[in-house]
Amino acid sequence: MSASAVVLLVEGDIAIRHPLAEYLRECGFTVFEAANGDEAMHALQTPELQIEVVLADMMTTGSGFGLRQWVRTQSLAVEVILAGSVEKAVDHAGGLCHEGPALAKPYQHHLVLDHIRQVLARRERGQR
Amino acid sequence: MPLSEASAAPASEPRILVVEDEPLIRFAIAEALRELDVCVVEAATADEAWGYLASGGQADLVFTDHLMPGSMTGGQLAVRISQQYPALKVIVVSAYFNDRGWSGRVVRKPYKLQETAVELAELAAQSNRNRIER
Repeated sequence: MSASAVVLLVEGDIAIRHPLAEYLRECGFTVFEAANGDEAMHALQTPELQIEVVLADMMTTGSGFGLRQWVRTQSLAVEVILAGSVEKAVDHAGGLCHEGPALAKPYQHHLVLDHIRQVLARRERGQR
Repeated sequence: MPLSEASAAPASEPRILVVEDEPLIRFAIAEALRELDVCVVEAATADEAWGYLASGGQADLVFTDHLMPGSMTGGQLAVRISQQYPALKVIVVSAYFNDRGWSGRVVRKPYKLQETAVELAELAAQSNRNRIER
């Protein structure tokens, strides 16, 4: 993985998307946030954004494989990383961060996961 | 910024919840605000924004588009916020706004990006100081 600087994060749940995006920003990336597959495609069709890596939740994109396929048909020079769970998404973000543009790493990526779990648990309690 | 401040705990930096379903418009205002050291939470619909606030997410200011897909317009979100979180300021942005339910501030679209970002950042910083003091 190259030290790419612009990431498109595709995640349908704001409770996951926001902390994950902030984590990647702390690591020195410019992060664009897409809440669904349509937004992701819209962003990827905008060359000015210079997106180099897509980190996508497979649930959000309907089928993440479809997004990867679409990227291929568009001949876009972006790497698509698909995550099937929040744990995987955080792991991948940790990997990007490890090799990312900034030298100083903000915090361990498992802390991001702990934080997301806390927010999700709080939301579940609130909904009961 | 410690992680505890990233989303849940009272923030030390001003935080704006930007609600806009048009991703390129949202990216533009979000990035302009981040350049001004504002923490921006991006929501693609009013429902998503409400979910963020209802699960304890913090904000000093909400800047919301009016016409969006989902169960609520920005105007309806603004009314709901003003009832549930009266201390939280809301600005609705719209090209054409005719919702009589919302009597608060409305910014016309298209808005000047830099000027608007600077004003929003100032308003958020002000609210942030009040929030920390409360």
